[in-house]
Amino acid sequence: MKRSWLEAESKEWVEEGIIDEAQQQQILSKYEKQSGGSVIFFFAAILIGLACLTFLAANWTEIHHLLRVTLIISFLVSFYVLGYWMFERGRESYGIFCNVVALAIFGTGIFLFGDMYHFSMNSVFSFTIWTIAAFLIYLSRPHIFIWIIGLVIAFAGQMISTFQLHDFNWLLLAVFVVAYGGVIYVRKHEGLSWLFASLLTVQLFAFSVSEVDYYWFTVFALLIYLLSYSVASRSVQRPLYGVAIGSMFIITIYHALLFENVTRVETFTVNDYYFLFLIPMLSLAVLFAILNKEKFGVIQLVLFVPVFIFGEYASIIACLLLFIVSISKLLEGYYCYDQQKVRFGIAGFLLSTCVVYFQMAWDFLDRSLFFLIGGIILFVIGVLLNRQHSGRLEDRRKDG
Amino acid sequence: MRKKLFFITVILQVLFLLAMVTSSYLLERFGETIKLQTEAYDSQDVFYGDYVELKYLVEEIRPENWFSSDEVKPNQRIYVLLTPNEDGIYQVKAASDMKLEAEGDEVVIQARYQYQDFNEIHHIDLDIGRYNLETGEREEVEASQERLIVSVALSPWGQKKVVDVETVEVEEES
Repeated sequence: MKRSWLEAESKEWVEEGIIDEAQQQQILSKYEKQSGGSVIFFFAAILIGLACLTFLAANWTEIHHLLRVTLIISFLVSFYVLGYWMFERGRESYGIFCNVVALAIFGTGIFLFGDMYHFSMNSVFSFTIWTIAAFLIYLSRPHIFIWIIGLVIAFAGQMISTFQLHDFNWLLLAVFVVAYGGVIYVRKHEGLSWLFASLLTVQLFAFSVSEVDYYWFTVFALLIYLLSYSVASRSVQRPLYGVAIGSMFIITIYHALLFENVTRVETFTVNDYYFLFLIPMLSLAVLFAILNKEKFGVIQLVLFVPVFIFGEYASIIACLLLFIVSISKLLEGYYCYDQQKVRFGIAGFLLSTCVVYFQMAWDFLDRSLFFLIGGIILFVIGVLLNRQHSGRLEDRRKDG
Repeated sequence: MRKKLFFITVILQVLFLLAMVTSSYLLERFGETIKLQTEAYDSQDVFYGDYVELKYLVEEIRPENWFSSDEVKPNQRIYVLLTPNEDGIYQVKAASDMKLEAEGDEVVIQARYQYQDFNEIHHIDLDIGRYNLETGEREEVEASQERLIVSVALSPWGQKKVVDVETVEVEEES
C-alpha cells in the first residue's frame, strides 16, 4: 500500500467524519515513510563486494599464499569493525552494508583457501558454515537483508549439493528450517514467510526429483500444508498454505499434460510406501480442514489426490481437479470478500483452460464442452460478484 | 548481549579461516603421504589455465576389485583400499560403498562414484584432480609428455591434498 494513497484517502475519511485527525495520524504512523536508501546501500554493498573479489581473484596467483590469507582476513575484520562503528553512530544502512560485504568476503575466503590449499570440496560443508555465520550475524544485527543473504546462501548450497554432488544435504536443510524458519516463526513477517516457504518448497522438490521420485513431493507439500495449521500467526500460515496448494496446482498441471499419453500412465510405477505416507497425512489434512470449518479448504485438498491411480482417465481427472480448485478459490474469495483470492481463482481458471486447450488428444466436441461449461461458470460467478458489489453499495447508501 | 555475539561471530569466522590454513600445513607435515600415478597425457590437454587436470590410475577400478553391495548411484561415496607396489606407488586392492579396513602399509581413501564403462570398469573421482601449479612446476610438467607421480597427503579425518607433482619416466606398457 502506498503511503501517499493512504494520506489522500485518510484525509477524505477525516472530512467525512469517519475518523478524527488524531486517529488519522495514528493510522499513518503505522506506515512510516520508507526511504529507498537502504535498498540502494544493499545493492551497493553487493556490487562493491563483488568488485573486490573479482579483482582479487584475477590477480590471485601473483600474490604469495600467506599474503593472500592476510589480505582476506584483514578485509574481513575491517569491514566488520567498520560495520560495528557505523551501528554505534546510528548509521544502520552503512552498518548493514559493511556486514553484507564482510559476509561475502568470508564466503569467498572459504572457497579461495579451499582452492589454494587443495582441499577436497566433496560436500557443501563450506556452505553450511557460511549459512551459520550469516545467521549469527543476523542474530547480533537483526536486519532483514542479512537474513535474506543467509537464506539465499543456504538455498544455493542445497541446490549445488543436490544437482552437482547428487547428495541432498540434510544438515543444511536443518539449519535452513530451524534457524531461518525460527526467525519467521518469531517475526511473523508475511513477505519473508513467502520467500522462506517458496525456497523450502523448491528444496523439497529438488530432493524428490533427485533422490527419490518426483511424485514424493506430494508428501512434502502435504507436510508443509499440515505445518501451516501448527502456526497461529496468519502472516506465516498463509504463505505455507499458499505455497503448498500453489505447488500442487503446478504438479497437477504437469500430470494433466503428462498422462495425456496413455502409455505413460500404464508404465508409471509407484512405490507402495508412498500411499502409506499419503493416505494418513491426507486424512489428517481433511480432518484439520473440517475441524477449522474450511469448506473450501477441504475441496482444495483434492489437488493431493494421486491422479495416476485412475489409469487412462488420469489426464481428464487432473484437468477436472484444476477446475474444481480454481472455482472453489473464486467462490472462497467471493464469500470472504477477498479480492486476492478471487484474482488467484481467475488466474487458476484461465490457466486450467489453457491446459485443456493444449490437450490435443481430445476431440473438438469435448474441448468445446469444457470451454462452454467454463465460460458459463465464470459468467455466473461474475454476475454473483457484481450483485454482491451492488448490494454492498446499496447497504452503504441506506446506512448513509 | 548482541554486541558480544557479534564479536564472537567475527572471531569464529577468522578462526575458521585460520584453521583451514593451518590444517593444510599440518596435513602436509603430519599426514600420511602416498604416491599415486596418473594416466599418460599429452601436456597440451592437461592444462586448464593455471591448473593441471590429473587423472589417476586408481580412479579406474576393475570388476575383480569391485566389492559393492548394490547398484551404486553417481556421486555416491566409495571407499578405496590402496596398497603399495614394489616402487612404493599405491594401487587399488579393493573398492566398495561400505567401509574397508586397512592393514599394514595399506590406506583407505574416499572417492565419489562416476560411472561404469563398456569394459565394466568402474570410474570414480578422488576429487583431487585439479592442482594449481607453481611457475617452476608448470614448466617441468609442460616439458614432460609422460606420466606424473603425485604425492597426496591424507589426514585421519578423511581430508586429502595434493602436496607434490613430479614427472617420471615410465616404460611403455606392453
